Amino acid sequence: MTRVVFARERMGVSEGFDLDGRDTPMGDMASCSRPDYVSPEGLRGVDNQLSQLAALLDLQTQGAVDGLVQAAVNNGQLLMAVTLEGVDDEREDPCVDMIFQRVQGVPTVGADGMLDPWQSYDPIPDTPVTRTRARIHEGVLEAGPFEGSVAVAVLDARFVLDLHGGRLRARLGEDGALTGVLGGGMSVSQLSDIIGTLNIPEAFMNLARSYIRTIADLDRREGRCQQFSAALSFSGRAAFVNR
Amino acid sequence: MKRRILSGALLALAACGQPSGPPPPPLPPQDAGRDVTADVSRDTLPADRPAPDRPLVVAPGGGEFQPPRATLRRLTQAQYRNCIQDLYGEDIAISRPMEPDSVVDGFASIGAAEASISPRGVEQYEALAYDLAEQLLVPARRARTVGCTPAGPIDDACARAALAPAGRRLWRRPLSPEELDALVAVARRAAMTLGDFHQGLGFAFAALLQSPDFLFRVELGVPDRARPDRRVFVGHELASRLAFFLWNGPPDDALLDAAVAGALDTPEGLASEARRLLLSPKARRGLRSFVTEWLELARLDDLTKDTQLFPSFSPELGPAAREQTLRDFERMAFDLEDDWRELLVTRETHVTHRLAAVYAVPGPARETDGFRLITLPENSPRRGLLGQVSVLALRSHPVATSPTLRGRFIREGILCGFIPPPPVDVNTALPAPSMERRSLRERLQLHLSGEACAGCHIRMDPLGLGLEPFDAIGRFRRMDNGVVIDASGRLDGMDFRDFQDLTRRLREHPDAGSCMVTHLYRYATGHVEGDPELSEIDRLTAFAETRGNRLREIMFALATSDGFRRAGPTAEMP
Repeated sequence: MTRVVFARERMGVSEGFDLDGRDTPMGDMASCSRPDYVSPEGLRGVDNQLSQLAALLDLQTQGAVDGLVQAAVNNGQLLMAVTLEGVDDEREDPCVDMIFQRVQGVPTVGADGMLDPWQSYDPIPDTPVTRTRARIHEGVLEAGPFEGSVAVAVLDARFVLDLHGGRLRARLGEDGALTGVLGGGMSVSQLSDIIGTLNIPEAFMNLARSYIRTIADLDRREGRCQQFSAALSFSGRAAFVNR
Repeated sequence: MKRRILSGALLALAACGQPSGPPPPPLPPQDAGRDVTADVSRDTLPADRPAPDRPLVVAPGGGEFQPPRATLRRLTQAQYRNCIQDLYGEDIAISRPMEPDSVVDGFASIGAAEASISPRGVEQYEALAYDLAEQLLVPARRARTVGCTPAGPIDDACARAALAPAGRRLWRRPLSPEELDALVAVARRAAMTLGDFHQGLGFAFAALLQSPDFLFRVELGVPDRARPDRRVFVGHELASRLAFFLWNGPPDDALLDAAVAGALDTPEGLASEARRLLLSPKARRGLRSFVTEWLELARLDDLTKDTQLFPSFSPELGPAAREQTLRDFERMAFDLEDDWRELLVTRETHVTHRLAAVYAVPGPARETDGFRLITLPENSPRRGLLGQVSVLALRSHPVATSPTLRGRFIREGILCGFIPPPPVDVNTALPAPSMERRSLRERLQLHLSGEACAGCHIRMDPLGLGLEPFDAIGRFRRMDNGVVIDASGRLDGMDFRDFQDLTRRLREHPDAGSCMVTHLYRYATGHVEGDPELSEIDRLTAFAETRGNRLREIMFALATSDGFRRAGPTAEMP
């Protein structure tokens, strides 16, 4: 992946997936009162409460979050690869294997500020690898729901985020390029624990922990939502993952 | 400041003029008509197989071979470096600038035979000589350089003991007693002035390094007894000629010893030393030097492309591509010992992380992992030398490919055809793309439609269009400005369907083998062959074919050939 950004919500419109199969209005207790959004294509029921956290991060960092993530990608700290196996037809194939993993290497970055295409990367030993079935329909790759993990490395932060009910949708372009969205539910308690390990001011730490509880909208149990929905927009270029 | 005290005296010693030295050794017995070309393969190289007693191949065409005139050749920058580092170690820093190489007919080794030294170059060589002398005589190194302990600031015996072997190695021949006396006198006078033996000796070393006997390869030959109109290289001149051809560096002690013993003056002795040199790791350096000059790979250091159009381009791409090509040649010649023409079609090559990305093949995950030998997929559109960045990007413009430049390289570089430069009054710019002429192929049709252009471009453009599936940095592409690329064409009466077919046609082209021999001949002898030399090139070509066109065999045959050992008279030496 050459670019990964939080999918932002603007005027009730956001990239993402309908993760819970519901088009939730404001105040619906099944989603802990968090409203759903509409996709840019007009589909209703999009779950992406991470966009609210992204808005907070934008405010706190004066809009530097995307740049930090992009820098982590470009310097090789945050290299994520989507590998497709068993593809018979890049336009229509009902059964392919999709592998999602973090990889390592020292990438070269082109004059366009993006990772050059067709670079080779090594897998990272002992790092979660998500493997799931997927399909290609009219040149669009769709996978999920699946249980997966995202190994994150930005600045001095290193952590693994589990993705529940994960979905991936990406349009396959020429020469192996792809553009799409990755979504799923993230555990409030897991992220809260992770935040406690980050090298950030304590006041902001507490604020972030409180905030993710307020945006939880999935997996309601014992009167509380245990997860919050997330969507990441990404684009990628063809690459090789060494065996 | 101290060093300036005696610089006038040193320059006087090193003044240019007819190189002096000991008288040449007596002429060897006439060996005309014998040919010592023998198998130079790994299994047989160390053995001193008896040489056949007759020419292996009769020269086609029957014309009598006339050798080129003898000449002086200035050391190229690489040869200067190799001389210093071979003789004194790779830790010697050669960081000062020196006279740039002069490239003539594509070869610095040809330019070296025509180059003099500019006033600026003299100053640069002088500064470099003092810098090197200082490094050679720093306390940590002086024991190795000098080899004796001086009794005091003035010690002629120790100076003589240090300068005699140094002179032999740097000048590639023994010093005459007069030359040695002069150098010892320089060391003595400087030591007296400076009150230090080693500082004084440094001036003598600087004199050795500024001398034309070091800066020029003196290869003038001696009169051939049987053919007074010819000269023949013997002894130290032949040792030097051999070492610079096969190693691109100076003769080692064993080769100088062989020269002293007269071993090089017999066909068997010459063949034996040529074999030894070709088995040395330094022979790889020699081949690299030839390939670098032939393919103009040094230009890759300054490769530039429009990064708006080619965002993946970086200045590091050119040097990596150069090394890729050199590694491939080295492997073909010394490891596989295969027909060099396989390099035109092979799917095996060396890549770094960056090159693998350009070629869209798996490779190392980081540039620091270095090169990896890979095999391109069978269905890869790319193969061989012509599919490498070193050819594709170098023979392109910063913003676009150039079928003309690429075709010219194939015609001249691979097939040794001749393409004259364009007439001065012709506008060589191509029209901008239009609806009628979108692709480069369509726009190039203009080259072939005008009489002034067609005569030459018909010999270049169709070949270069065969390389159009690769853009100006060497990436594969299917389309050119929205038009599917058609890489078919015709090569000297043979149709080719696409790039791969073109490479196969070139591999089998009857001129490819002789062209490689011709380039090696030019490189080894430092000049472009004249008509009287063609019979020798034909003979070597025919021999190369009998030996599977293996590069090491060709180099061996050339090193032991009349074309390499003999010279015509110079204007100054009837």
